[in-house]
Amino acid sequence: MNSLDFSPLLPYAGLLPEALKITLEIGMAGFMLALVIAVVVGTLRSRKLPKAAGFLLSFYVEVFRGTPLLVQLFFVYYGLPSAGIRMEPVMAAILTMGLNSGSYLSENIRASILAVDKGQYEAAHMLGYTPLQTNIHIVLPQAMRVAIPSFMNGFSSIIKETSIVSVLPVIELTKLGNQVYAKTYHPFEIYILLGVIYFCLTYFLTFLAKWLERRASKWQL
Amino acid sequence: MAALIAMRDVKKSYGENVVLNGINLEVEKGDIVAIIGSSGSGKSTMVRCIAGLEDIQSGKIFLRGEEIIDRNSVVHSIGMVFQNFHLFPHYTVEENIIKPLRTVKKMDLKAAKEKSEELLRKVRLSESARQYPSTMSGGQKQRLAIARALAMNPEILVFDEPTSSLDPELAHEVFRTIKDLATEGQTMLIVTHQINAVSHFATRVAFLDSGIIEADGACKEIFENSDNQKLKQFLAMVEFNTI
Repeated sequence: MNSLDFSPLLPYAGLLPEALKITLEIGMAGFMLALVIAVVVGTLRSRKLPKAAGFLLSFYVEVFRGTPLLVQLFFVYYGLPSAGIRMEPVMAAILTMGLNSGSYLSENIRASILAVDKGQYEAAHMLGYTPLQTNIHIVLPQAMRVAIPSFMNGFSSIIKETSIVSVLPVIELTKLGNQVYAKTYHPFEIYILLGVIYFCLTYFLTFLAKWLERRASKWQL
Repeated sequence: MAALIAMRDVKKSYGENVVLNGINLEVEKGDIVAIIGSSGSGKSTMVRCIAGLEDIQSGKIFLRGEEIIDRNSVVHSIGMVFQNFHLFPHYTVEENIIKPLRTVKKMDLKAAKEKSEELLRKVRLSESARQYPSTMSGGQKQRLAIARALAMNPEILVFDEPTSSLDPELAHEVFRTIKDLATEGQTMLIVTHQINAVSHFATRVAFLDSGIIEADGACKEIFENSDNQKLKQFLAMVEFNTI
């Protein structure tokens, strides 16, 4: 095995910040979208819904959990234009990531909401809270506390899964790695470097998760 | 003048299990009604029906002479204190009072804070204002639950076994607070097994057995002069010492 030599990669170092920015942009925007979807879908699915609405939400969750992310990404970017819906690759990536992760996280939110004591609803009702106020002020803050670890796992997964976006015409971290590999033929160094960058990003997220959990747990003994 | 709360032939079942079998009860303004009876007699279900937390199968419940059709309509008139407190754990002690005032009554922060301070003083919890409920004793939690219910200015305060999950010492703290409210003329319905404690301030006692009010009258009448056999058996069972 040849010794590690990172020097051939140096001329491309200037491209790294932009690729990192796009990776983070897709990861963060995708996660924010997933968060919104998860809260809305999870809250709705924890309640008794009209049959059609319940079926639709269940269909969404099952389809996105039951099909590969790559297929979903191809469908959104290459398939939807046939239906007249075109979007930029970054937008397609964010939408797919958000929808995919939202389907998983909505189940976490649903379970967390169901874990909130029924007495909390009764107490809120007797104080005059409307069902919407009860959900926003009483139930969701308690459910979110329970859901934080799975949410941060979801965030971490999205960051890692952005590498799949390299199949689209967008230069994020993995795509940059592939392109530099094509020019330098130093795959060993390139993919070690990529791995280290992804690891650093997700490792930072584990600290963020612990900090968030501590903050959200200040009311628990 | 119509009674504050009136129940007319109220029946309630869970499947085949009949819990309330024709309840008739009137509660006047200023009444402090202790509801006693053995476990499973229907006491809690009765007050939960009044509070609109349970549907009834037949009969009628009136609030100030008007039949309660929409269960949500009673929440501004009735305050409820639960056996297990049901405080909001993510709020501090003072926030448990301030937030509902802000959210439901749309009160401004300054007024809500003043109201919270006044109520916490009343239930002797001023020192704990910035703590979270998880750090408090059961008695303190229940006193906070009382303060929270009072914040909404309910005409009638309903207690569902407020001291059942407390040690005698902590139960005493809670009864002291309830007694203070009694002297202020607060209308109250109290489901309890602590007959000795409520006998000091209840204006009336209703005894339930198998979903029926078997006896209803002044404390002395119920505890000393009633010849209802079921009541006598119940009182003997709880080793009640006459007042």
